[in-house]
Formats: sequence, structure tokens, C-alpha cells
Amino acid sequence: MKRAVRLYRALLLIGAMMLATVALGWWGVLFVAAVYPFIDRRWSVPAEAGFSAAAAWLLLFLANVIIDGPGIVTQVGGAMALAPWALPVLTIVFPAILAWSGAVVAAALQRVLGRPRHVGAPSPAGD
Amino acid sequence: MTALSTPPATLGETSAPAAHVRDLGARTWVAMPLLALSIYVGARPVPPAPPIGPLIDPVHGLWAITREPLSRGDDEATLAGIHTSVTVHYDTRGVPHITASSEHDAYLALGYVVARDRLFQLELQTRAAAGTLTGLVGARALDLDRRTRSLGMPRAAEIKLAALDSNDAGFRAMVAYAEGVNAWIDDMPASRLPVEFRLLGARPARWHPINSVHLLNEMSRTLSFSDDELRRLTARARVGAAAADALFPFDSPIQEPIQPTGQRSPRFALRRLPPPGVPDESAAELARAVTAAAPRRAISGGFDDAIGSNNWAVSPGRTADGHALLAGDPHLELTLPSIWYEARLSVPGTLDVYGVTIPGAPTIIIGFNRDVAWTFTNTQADVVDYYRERVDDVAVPARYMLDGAWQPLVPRVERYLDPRGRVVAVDTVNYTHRGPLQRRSRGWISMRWTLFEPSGEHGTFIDATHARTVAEWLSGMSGYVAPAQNMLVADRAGTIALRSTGAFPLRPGDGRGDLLRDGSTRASDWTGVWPVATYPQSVDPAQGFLASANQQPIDPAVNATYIGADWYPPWRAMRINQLLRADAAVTPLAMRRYQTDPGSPRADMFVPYFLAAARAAPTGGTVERAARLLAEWDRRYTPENERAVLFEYAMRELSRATWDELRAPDDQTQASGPRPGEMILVELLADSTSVWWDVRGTVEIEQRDVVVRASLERALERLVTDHGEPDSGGWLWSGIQRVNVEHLLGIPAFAAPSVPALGGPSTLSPSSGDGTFGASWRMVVQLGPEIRAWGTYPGGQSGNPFSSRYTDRLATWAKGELDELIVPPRGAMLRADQISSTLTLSPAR
Repeated sequence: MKRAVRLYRALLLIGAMMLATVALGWWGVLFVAAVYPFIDRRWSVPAEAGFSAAAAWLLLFLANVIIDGPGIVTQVGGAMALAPWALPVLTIVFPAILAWSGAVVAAALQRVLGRPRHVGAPSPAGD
Repeated sequence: MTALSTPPATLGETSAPAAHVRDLGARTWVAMPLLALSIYVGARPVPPAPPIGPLIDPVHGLWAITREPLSRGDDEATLAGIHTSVTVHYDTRGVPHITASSEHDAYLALGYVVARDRLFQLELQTRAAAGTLTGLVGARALDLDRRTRSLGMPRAAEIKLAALDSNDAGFRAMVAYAEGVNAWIDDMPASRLPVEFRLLGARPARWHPINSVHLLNEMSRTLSFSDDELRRLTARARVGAAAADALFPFDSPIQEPIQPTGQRSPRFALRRLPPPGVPDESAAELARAVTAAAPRRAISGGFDDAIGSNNWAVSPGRTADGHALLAGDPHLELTLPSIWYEARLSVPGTLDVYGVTIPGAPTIIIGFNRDVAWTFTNTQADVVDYYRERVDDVAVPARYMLDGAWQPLVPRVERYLDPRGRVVAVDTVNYTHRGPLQRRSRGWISMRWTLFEPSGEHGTFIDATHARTVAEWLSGMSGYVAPAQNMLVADRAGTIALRSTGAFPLRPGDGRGDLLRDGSTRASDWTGVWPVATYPQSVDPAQGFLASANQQPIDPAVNATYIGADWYPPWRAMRINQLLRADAAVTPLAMRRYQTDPGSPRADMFVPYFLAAARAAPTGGTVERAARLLAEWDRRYTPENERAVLFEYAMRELSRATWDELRAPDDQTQASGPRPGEMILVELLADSTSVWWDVRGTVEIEQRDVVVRASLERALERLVTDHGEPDSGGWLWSGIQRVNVEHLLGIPAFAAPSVPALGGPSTLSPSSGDGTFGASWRMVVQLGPEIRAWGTYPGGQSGNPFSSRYTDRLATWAKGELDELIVPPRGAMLRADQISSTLTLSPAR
């Protein structure tokens, strides 16, 4: 049950990251990562945000590769004068770092702002 | 205790509070700089990289650039500027057929569809011509922009635009076209922003009518900015005036002129070259003075025949079907996207023109309507002159001397802005009444160029598209100024004509434009331009065909008036004329084949000298082997031949060994010396004992055959070193000479490198050097009861590197084939099976 909830939550977060990227571009990742700690205050939230952001962008990237063919990886990398693997790696690492660090700072901010905290209680998601 | 201060080993677990606080603190301290850094590189450009965030965003960034399929699907848009609906059918070759009820709407729609396909090209070309590249790419383009502005190009565009009447057809077309481009910029979905803008982190600028003027100015710089002054001065500095004048003559020693003379073969006017004279120190000083204003080609003496062009037309009496035929292939720098964009404009009852436009030009430049077809080659006329000026203050001049009185210079402040609008640099360019003043070495030089004259070329192009006869077409083009072109035209009545058209300056005194003039007197100024009636021209010549390939327009034995001196060798002209003289029943297919004919009058001229020199002193060994290999060559630059490369090596060695007198004393590579054309080499080869054959630095006195033999020997040795033994496969011409179609920004991933060439130096489809120049558009038109036409260019209609239309024509072009252009019969529409998609443009209510 616990695993299912975790999976459900992860999928929800990945979906949120994807939707936010569609709506707000790369800032969407930061937006979701910054809001998430205000909804769920577990210590692991930043890691989840980072993972979800990476997964969301990986899925969106793969969608492009499926639509356009794998040649796009070489061509786009070439346009940037980078090795073919470099830009896909950046596409996954950049949102992960952005979301993780954004969530950590948001969580700290939330603490500084002195919002009510629940102590050792399960998260709203029921974890 | 909070959840935030509960560091779990796994999701949902908790542990000791003190550790939680400590860990949280460390994590936050790590995260804060990481977040700042991520936001910084995400949002801010870190030159040369653009902001990373929008670039790698998988929804809006590089990964998501729309891949346009061959059929892009029907679409519609609402445009504020058009008066009634415009239909744009894209045919199966991706060519937009624009049907509008007024010419205004047609030109507006043309701007819209060109911007839709080539928006970045529009921006880049215009900025290059306007000297505003820094606004796109920052300070790294400052040198380019400075050079453009110091030549007076932006000012020239402003003068031309200001001189146009608001009722001028060209002006109105430019305004409508600008509305169309801007309508696309306003309507463009984010996904259609060209990749180059994304890479640069830039947005397209608004399009202004003056941009269309900038575009033609850029063509003028490419095609008409030559300075024989420099080449001749540099040669004078090394070998004296008499020798320099003989090495760089006004007239081609081999006369195969554009205007027919009745001769059936070239006229050889070979002279004996005077010996090298005493170096002229004053010429050396002047050469240094104008160096900075000169193109590299002139300075180095390097010569790339692949930038020339061909055109020819055949009268009905010499065609198989009894209809006039016309062919044209302008040779320019090959880029992706291509310089050309194919389109058809149709306004029922008024206009129906098909052909290629240059993105930014509001109409068709080369093409045909229902009655007339036309194409151009560059005239190579001398339309740029330099003047030595006397100024009041050598450091900061404010006045210049003219006829004994000081005249004020007109200053123009040039500000160079970066993409964020910050000033990168500020210059002041001063103008005399002739043109921009430039400091060179210890003096000041002003320049006059026909580009600076008020003119309305776009209006002349538009007039020409309405012509119904050759006479009307020529009349429409009479006001054309720059760049001067050999304009070939044919009509359905069977008339063919070729006229070198443009402003040709009338100069005082001997009329020469090849030397620096004294700027302190008006007596040095141009006195006018040639009347149109005196332009070199022919209509329906007795020989039944007309052809041009950048050679001298008129045989000086017929008319010796100075028009220029920068003529291309006549090899291509000779080959065209050979082919046309031998064919009394020319077909469209033959015209198409001629465009990539691999024959070479140049090889026919020089190969016998190598073979004869080898035979003259049979020494065995390398020379005999090289001669035997060269004799095996059929003198055709076919991709599969394995001997052309030996000839090219031998020619290079021969040129290097022969013109050593022109080399700078401290230069062993001859990179610094002007190199006479191959026609002068022909003159020299006819004189076996000329002192020019003697190689400086050797004790012996060399003569022709010794140098020619040694060149052949060295060629074989170097060739084997570079490419292996003769039949090892390394000598295949297709492996030696490749065409490289480069991306406009030089991005390798968006280029088409290493395409096998169909020709070689000076063949009809020339390819030489690094292969970046060549036939940029090939067209054949048959002017029968209904026009039929064939054409292609090395690229595709789309400027999007991820589109299937980006290079879809390249394979056809590389094979030397042409597509039949989809032209419905007069008054008819495209058939449904000829339409791949439709764009409907409706007026805004």
C-alpha cells in the first residue's frame, strides 16, 4: 500500500512538472519545486522534486525523440557543438538540480516564515 | 519537531532532531548557491552560450522545434494588411503559389510565406548589409559591422529609400512585403521560432522596407565591389608599371566576348610580356593605403572561378521544337538555407510570375512570366573608384581640399549596439561629396561606388515581371543601377536579347578606373553614366544564340571604351559557345545537360604544353610517368576520372613557379603576391624564352619547358604523397573535389558537407577550392505556347534544419538533374494532385 501511494505521488509530481513546463517553460519546474514543500513538509520532498523534474523532462525529451527520430539528438548536439550525449544529460540534470535546490530553499524559507508544522505526522499524502 | 527537520533514511522515516537540524542547515547552504547558479545559467546568456533554460526546455526549446513534414497541412491566418483573401497553394515541391486579387496583397503574402520559411535568414542577411550584426550576436561581429559601415552601405540604403517616390512600384511592394513579414512575426507560434534565434537567445526584429534595399546592397558588395586598383598597385610595387599593366590588362588576351562578333572561335590577342621592371616604391605606399578596403581575393590574387555565373538563350531557329530556350545558373556562395526561395505570384489579369526571389526582395528576381523568361550573370564592370584626399588635419579631419578651397566633411556617427541595446562602440565616418572617407596608412582615401547613387532596383524588377515582350522587359530594366548584370531575356515570340545593364561610370580623361585618382579636384569626378543605348547589347544575333559567363562584354577591337578590367577567363564562355555552335537543334534536355557539362577548354589549352614539354626532353623517370598519366585524361572533370587531379596539381605548381617575381621578398608561399589570370599564363606559354620563366634564386636561367617539366614532376610527387599511387583510388575526382554547403551561421550540424562535385575549376558547373561556391540555382525555360520550365537549387524551401524541406533538393542538384517546375497552363489552377497544402490568408475585420 505504502509503495503504491509513493508511486502515485511520484506520478502526480511528474505530471505536475510536465504540465508546469508546458505552461511556464523551464520556470515551471522551479515553480512546482518551490510550491511542493508548502504542501508536503517531509524531509525527502526536495529529493522527490528533483527526481520528478528529471523524470518529467526525460519523458518529454523521449517524446521528441520518438516523434523526430534519434537523429535529432546528434543534430541538436551538433548545433551546440557538443557531444551527442551531452545535451540529453544536461536536459535531465539541469531540472533535477533546479528542482532539488529550489525545493530545499523553499523548505527553508517556509521554516523561516514560521508556518505551522506538523510533528512527525504522516504527510497529507498519507505516507 | 517538524517534518522538515526530520531527515528520514527512507521516505517517511524520522530520526534524531539534532541531526535533522544540522543536516538541514548543510543542505540549505549547498542548495542556495546551486539554485542561484541554476537560475543564472537558465535565464542569462553565458557567451557564447545562450540561456540554458529555454534552450533545453523539452516543450519549447531545441528539442521541440517543429519538424515540418513534406505536406505541412492546411492552415489559415488573419492579416490586418491585406484587402481580400489570398490563397497560397504549396505545390508538391514546397513552392508557394500565391493567388491574390491585387499586387499589394501578393507582395504582402510573399513576405508572409518567406518569413514563415526563412525568418532567420531574413534577419541575418539584413543585419550583415546594414552593419547591425552586433545587435544579434554581440561584440564579436564588431569588425564586420565596422567594415560594412565604413563602406557607407547603411547610408546608401537610406539615400536610396529616401529618393523613392511613395507611388514607386518598388517602394509600395517593399512596404507591403514588410507588412507580410511582420504579420508572420506577430502570428508565429513559439514552436516556430527558428532554431538559430534559440541558439543565440534572440528574437526576430521588426522588418522595415529599408531592409529590402539593404539586401540588394549586399548583393552589390558581393558582385560589384572589386578593386583592380589594389592588384595593379601591388604588382607595380613589385615589377614596375609596364610589367604590371601587362600582367593585369584591361582586355582579355583571349577574346570570346559576350556580344557576338561573327567569329566562330576565340580571338587570341596574345602579346609578349615586358620583363619585370624596377619596383615602384610610390605604388607600394599607395597599395598599402587601399589595402584595408579591398576584398581578400584581390589582395591575395587568389581566384575562385566558382563564383561566376552562366546564362545562354537559343533562338527558335536553332531549337528542336522551334521555341526559344533560355538557361541560367548564377554561381554564388552555397549556403543553407539557400540564397534563393522559389515562389509564384499570380494576380489574375495583371501578373503571373514564377521564379526565385532572394528572401527580403519583394518580388521574383530570376524567372519567367507567361511570355518572357530572364536570368542574369555578373558584368564584372568597374564601378568603384578611389581618390587620394588632402585633409585639413591628418589625425582628425574636418575638411577636405577641393578645387583650391576647403570643403566640410559630412560626419555620420555610427553606434554599434549589442543585443541588449548597450553601446558596444561608436565611430564617426566622414563623407566627401564622393563617398566615405577612410584613413589608410598615412593618408586618406575616399571612395565612389555606383551603390551610393539613388536608384530603385526593386521597381525595375517589378516592371520587368509585367513585360510581355523582350522589348518591354528591357525597357522595364532600363533604370537598373547596381549590381551591373548581363541580363539575358527571351520571349514566346522567339526574340532573345542580352544586355549588360547597370550604371557604368563615365570618367574624365582616358576614362580609366583602374588607378587612384587625385581627390583634390572635381576634374577627377565621374562625369555621368553611360546612356542605356550604349550598353553592350544584342538582340536576335545571326548566330542564333547568346551566352555570357562573366567574360569581357565587347571585343575591344569592336569597342575599346573602358568598362572594367576584372574579367573572368573565358573558359566557360568558350565551352558554352562550343556546345551551342555544335548543336543546331537544341532541346530542353540538352540545355539541362550543358549546365553540368564536364568539358574544359582550360584543360584543352594547358595540357598540351605539359605533354609537349615532357616530350621535348625525354628524361625518363617521374616526368615521363607524369606525362603518360596526364595523357590518359580525357580532359573532362567527371566524378569517376582519376587524372584531373594531376592536372590541377600541375597548374598550381606552374603558377607558383612562374610568378615568383610578384612574391614579396620575404614570402616563400606567394600568399602575398597578386597572381595574374590564367590568360596571362597562356600569353607567357607562347613565349618560350621570356625572362618571366626564370626562377629567382637559382643560378641557371630557366626557360619555359624546364619550368613546365619541373611543375609536372613536382605535381606527381606531391600528389602521390597526398593521395597515394595513381590507381589506388585516391585520385578519384569525386573524392578530391567536394562541394560544401555551409550553414549561414557556420553551424556544422546544419550544413551539408562533402557533396561530390560535378565539375572542376572553370567547367560549366565549376567547383574549386573548398567547394563553397557553385551553381546556386539552375533553370531552363522553354518559351512555347505554354511555358515549360525546369529548375533546382542546392538546399530546400525551408530554413528549418529539422524540416524535411531543408535539403530535399540537394540530391537532385548533386546529380545535375532539374525538377520540372509545376506551372499550370495559362489561366488554370493547380491540379489537386499538385497541391500539398493550402494556406488561406484572410483580411482582419
